[in-house]
Amino acid sequence: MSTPLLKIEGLGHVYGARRGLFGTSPAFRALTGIDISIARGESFGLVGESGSGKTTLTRNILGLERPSEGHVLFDGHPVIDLGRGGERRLRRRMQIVFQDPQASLDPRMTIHDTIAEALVVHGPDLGIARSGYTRRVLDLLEAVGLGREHLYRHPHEFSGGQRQRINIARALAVEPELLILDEPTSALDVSVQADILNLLQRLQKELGLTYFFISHDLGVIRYTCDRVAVIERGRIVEQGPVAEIFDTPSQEYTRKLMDAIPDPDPDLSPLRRLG
Amino acid sequence: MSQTDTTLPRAQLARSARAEARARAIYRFRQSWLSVIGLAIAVVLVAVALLAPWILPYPDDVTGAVNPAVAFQPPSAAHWFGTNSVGQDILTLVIYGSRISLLSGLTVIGLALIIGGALGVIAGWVGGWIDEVIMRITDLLLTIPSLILAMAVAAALGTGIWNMIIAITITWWPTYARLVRAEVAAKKQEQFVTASRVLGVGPMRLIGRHVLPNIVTPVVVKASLDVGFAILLVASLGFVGIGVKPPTPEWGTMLAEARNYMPQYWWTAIFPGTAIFLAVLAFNLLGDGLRDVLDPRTRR
Ligand SMILES: Nc1ncnc2c1ncn2[C@@H]1O[C@H](COP(=O)(O)OP(=O)(O)OP(=O)(O)O)[C@@H](O)[C@H]1O
Ligand SMILES: [Mg+2]
Repeated sequence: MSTPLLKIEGLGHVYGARRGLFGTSPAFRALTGIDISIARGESFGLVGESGSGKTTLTRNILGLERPSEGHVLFDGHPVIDLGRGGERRLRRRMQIVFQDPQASLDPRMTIHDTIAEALVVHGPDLGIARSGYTRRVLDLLEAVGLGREHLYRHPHEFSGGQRQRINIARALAVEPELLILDEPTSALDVSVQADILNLLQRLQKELGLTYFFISHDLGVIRYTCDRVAVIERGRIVEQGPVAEIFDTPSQEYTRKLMDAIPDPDPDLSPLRRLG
Repeated sequence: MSQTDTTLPRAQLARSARAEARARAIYRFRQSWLSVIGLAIAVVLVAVALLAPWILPYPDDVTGAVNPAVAFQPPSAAHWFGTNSVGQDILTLVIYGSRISLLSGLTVIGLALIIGGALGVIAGWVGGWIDEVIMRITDLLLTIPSLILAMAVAAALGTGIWNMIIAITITWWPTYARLVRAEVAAKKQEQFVTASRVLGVGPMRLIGRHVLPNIVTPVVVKASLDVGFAILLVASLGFVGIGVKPPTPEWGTMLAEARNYMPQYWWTAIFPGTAIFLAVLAFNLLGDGLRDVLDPRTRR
């Protein structure tokens, strides 16, 4: 087998003790001994309760945090201490879509400028000249189901689903290989969740993307992912092919997570509309 | 919102969206008639200050000319605001005084904004011990009352408009450092900043394009309110005799002098007093109006 696109080995993360207004908050261990390997083109899911360390893991993958132990290798190379040029090259290859579509868009920037920012940073590497920015932004908007009339609007003029489309378009602007999706649909109305999931699936097929898909919703993971890992209080307690984990969960915790899914109202379930 | 015609050329689309946003902002500002009054007074004040050399009824009075023959004239056609103890035209002095008040008020706040803003951005963005050092210095300076420091500066360097401006600025910039630091530190954590960082955007652009534009509202509102308070402080310093020195006419100084002739020669106090009141009021109302216009949460 070739090098995995993303390899996480023995990753641990401890948030340092912090001095605050009301005394010192002690150090907090958020991740312990995480081992994950994701192949190119795969959809890898991560499920776990709130506070189990999912976002901390994405921040370590993105090189925004320094791991306390172990390391993250992207295509065989570490994601920290890269220097300015190395970091820029890495940023092009790995992007993220956050949970809250509104908070991840600058309220003062037009959609055009928000997406074009990716081109300002990476234009030369992408072979796009300044004069071609708008054309490219338009192509990206169209790829996520938005159009020319949205170019010069501000984020507050959009619905939640549209905003998430904008976030996806921005992430795709740099032509990444790995896309991290940190609960990309959990802030959205049930009715638009399915649209976004379908869009993500289509894009993955068209662009050959690798997904690291985080969700509370096991139904979503089951629908989207090939393999899944279950995280509990900073440890991976179980991982394997989706069908296997879902049909024969070996861990009590996983079973609990599955039971925690509210009995879905079939009319509201996003999965119903996925067909 | 109206449907935008999708066949419009791109530039025109951009312009219409921006024009619409501006039109809505102006509409909101005008909704609040108090802020319109504030703006109107501020505009008149600035216009008067700029045009002063050409509209002074008795230009010689501002350079200290005295006219004992017409001392303490009540308001009349010749002297709309009356005259003072040495026969100077009070309208002339009040008009010229607007230059001093506005110049010092705007300069103090401008300097405080530049110094405090720059240090606040550094403290809020970089954090760590640099933040600690900058914030301890601001805490220290905030404990010194402007009035006391201005007295000390006046005692050490002599009185004068620039010494006064420097003294007030020293005690005022820390308030901006604090505000800007808190805002920058908060915005730095925002997800849209993280999203841009993940895209590979460097710190200069993150600060310039994402952080600063999102903190202008509270800063501009504070600055506008503060210009009013700075004018008041300048007048207070003039009133206690450590601000601008006569013969340069200054509202606070005029008021202090008028104190000796109250209530008989009331016009010597009422006009400079009203000028101070209006100037402070104008910038306060303006600040409140700006808050409504600039706040993105009201941009719907
Ligand atoms: N900057 C920080 N400093 C200290 N502790 C933190 C910090 N960020 C997160 N934590 C703690 O680390 C743990 C994991 O947080 P994390 O955000 O990674 O969880 P999560 O799985 O993403 O949760 P959610 O599903 O709610 O998004 C939590 O207990 C949280 O309180
Ligand atoms: Mg999270």
